[in-house]
Amino acid sequence: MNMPSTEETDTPPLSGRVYGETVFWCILFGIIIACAGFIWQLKGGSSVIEPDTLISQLWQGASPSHIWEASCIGKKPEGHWYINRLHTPDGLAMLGIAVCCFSAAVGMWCAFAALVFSRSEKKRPMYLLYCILSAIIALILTLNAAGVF
Amino acid sequence: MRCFAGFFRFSSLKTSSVLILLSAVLLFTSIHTLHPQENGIPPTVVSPMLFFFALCIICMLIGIFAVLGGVGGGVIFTPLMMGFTSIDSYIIRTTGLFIAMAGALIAARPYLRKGIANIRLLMLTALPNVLFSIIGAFLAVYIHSSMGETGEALIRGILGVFVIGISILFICTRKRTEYPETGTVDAFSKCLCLDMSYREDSVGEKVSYRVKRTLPGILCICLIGLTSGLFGLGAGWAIVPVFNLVMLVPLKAAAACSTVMISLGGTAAVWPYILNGGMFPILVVPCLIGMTAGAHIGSKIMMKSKPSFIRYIIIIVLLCAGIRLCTKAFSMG
Repeated sequence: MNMPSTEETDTPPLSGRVYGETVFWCILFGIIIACAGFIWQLKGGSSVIEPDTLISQLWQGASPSHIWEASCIGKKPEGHWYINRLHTPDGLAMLGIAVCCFSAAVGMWCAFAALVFSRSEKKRPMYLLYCILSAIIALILTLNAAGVF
Repeated sequence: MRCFAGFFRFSSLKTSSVLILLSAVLLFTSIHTLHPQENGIPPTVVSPMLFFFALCIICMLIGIFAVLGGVGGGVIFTPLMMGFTSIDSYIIRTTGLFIAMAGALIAARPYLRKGIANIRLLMLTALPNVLFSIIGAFLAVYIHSSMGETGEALIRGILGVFVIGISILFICTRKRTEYPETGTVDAFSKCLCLDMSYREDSVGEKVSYRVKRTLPGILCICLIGLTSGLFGLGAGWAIVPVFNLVMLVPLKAAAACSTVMISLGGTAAVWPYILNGGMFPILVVPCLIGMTAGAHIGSKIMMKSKPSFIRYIIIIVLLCAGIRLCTKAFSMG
């Protein structure tokens, strides 16, 4: 039965701790960038889509394609459109959001590194299986973020 | 050295407090700087300032109720916004997924630091969850791009039925076991070495547990991943019962594992939406600030409130949103 006991607990696995710390700091960094971009947009910086136009379109139930047609790009972008538009407020805000979304991939790569290099992890049974699983998850998340799929 | 110690003490501050501070700075700086458009664009129905405040307040309320009701924000945000606003469902699902994912990523840290979330179980179940979340997201992109208005009606209709189902599930299943009895463990689960222990602070003791029925659990997780990607939901409401009732993980560990799982599945599902131009920071940032602040306030209120009462409110809200989604889908179809 799974019940509490007074025994000493095992140390939490290093890979888990590394994943938790990495994603936490990455997402905090991403949120700060996104907020900076958002403030810049509200201050009246030259945006890819003007806030007034965007809110109006959103409120009218326009699809993303229609909204992007009213932007300075002129059509719905494919892939990471913000990379070439970091000098615009919404480009910067979108970079922050992308950093947030990429944090799990970074965290999983770090967890994989912790699994590979940690001696305590190597002592645990089925060590190789979890090494491979973490590498596969990290790879899928990275390829997915890169738009390969 | 003291300087570093101070920094790390700062780093251990609750993230939500930092985010609330950020939002305060954001509000302060934006109040004086919002400007009327002078470039000939027709005036909006809602001013940017009103839009920002309205979204912040709505999301804050959603965040409060979500915490009090023990669900993630996404499961309330997506149906409510899709049912009661005219915003395109694709954009709402993208935003909903991001909010669910961001909240889970922030919350994952203490669970993993204390070892409450079982990282081995997560790595094993995250792989099918990630794969099926991506498939669900691509299915959503396909429906949106190829089926147009019919696709929109289809998504709203199915989500409506789904949300009504979730609320019925909330009414019927109150059977959650804090420390489930494991009994005999199947051979497959045994060979994966998923057993783990954590320190239960409320009783000051160690909880050791064994994971059972891994294969059926993985199959359930595949289905959950698909719905999460397709409808832009966090799906914590489904992952916790699978871990707790199917795989017999203690309730606290199941909730912790569910949070970390959403952080991985949500990340995988959100990219196809982003890369197809469905993410707009002007919508996402206020929602994120509002939800984080709401979750912080909700956790404070939780100490003094009756959870069962809040649970009934959430059930009613979900039922209303579900019915509204279905009627909207019928009128569109």
